[in-house]
Amino acid sequence: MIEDAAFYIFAGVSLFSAIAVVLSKNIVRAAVGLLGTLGGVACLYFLADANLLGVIQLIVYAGGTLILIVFGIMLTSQSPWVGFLPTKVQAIAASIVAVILTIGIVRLVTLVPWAQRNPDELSQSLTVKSIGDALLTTYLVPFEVASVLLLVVMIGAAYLARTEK
Amino acid sequence: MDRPGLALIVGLIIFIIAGICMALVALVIGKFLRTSLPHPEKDAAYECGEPTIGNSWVQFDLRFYVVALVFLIFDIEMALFYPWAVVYKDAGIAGLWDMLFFFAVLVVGFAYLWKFGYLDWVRATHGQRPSNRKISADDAMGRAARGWQ
Repeated sequence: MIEDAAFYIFAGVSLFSAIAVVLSKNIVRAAVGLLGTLGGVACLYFLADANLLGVIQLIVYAGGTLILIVFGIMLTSQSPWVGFLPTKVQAIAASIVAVILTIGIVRLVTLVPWAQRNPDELSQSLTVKSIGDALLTTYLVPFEVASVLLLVVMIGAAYLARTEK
Repeated sequence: MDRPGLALIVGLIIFIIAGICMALVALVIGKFLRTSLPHPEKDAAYECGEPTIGNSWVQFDLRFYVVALVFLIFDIEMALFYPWAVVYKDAGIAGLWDMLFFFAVLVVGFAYLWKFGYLDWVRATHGQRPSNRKISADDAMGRAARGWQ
């Protein structure tokens, strides 16, 4: 009962924040709306017992990527009320992408046999402990290779963003 | 209370309400206890004596972006530490070495950025000694401060 109410609250927060992102003319307000969307989705993850996914959503997306987006705004925008009106071509391209994405998500939701899944088995496979075990045994090599990937990203990004002085 | 997620949500709601009440109680008590001496200076954005210069909507320095990128990398690393930390007790010494290797690879990148001056505010030019760098930064600050007057 409370769980259902919490689901609708967090889903509503995500949805209305997402609408605010789309409709806002001000790029800073759009970024703040994105914070609501990402945070709401993280709460939905927690509600579904997907703790690791929720933590990653909060730390990496709401905490890290959003800060990078705000930094990008601060690096480029010269005035607080910088216009953010898409051109006609951009609007059409964005609409096409949104329609394709919607069709894909709807197909995914209808194709997955949700009722056949055993909830206990599902939540067992999602626990942080089992993911940690898998990271240190079966997927140890990809896990360590991921550190090399992060190293490449760190040095490459810093090299591209460096200042010539 | 059949699932741990629900207990978490209820706990979070209690935590949020308690947090809001703490701030509200402090503000309400302060409202009754403090004297009221309004002054236009008190409405300034920075009340501590430093007059503000120009607009706050300036274009930020690109060097902030490098710091943000490094932050994001270690952010992702922290997220990957979480499942490792949960199983650390059972994984034993091998788990420790696994994570130390993971961490060491990232420290190599951090050391590279540090060594080659990506994190310096005033980037070192070739052949310059670190001690000179500090002085030149100070000079730039001094020049800027004199320019404002």
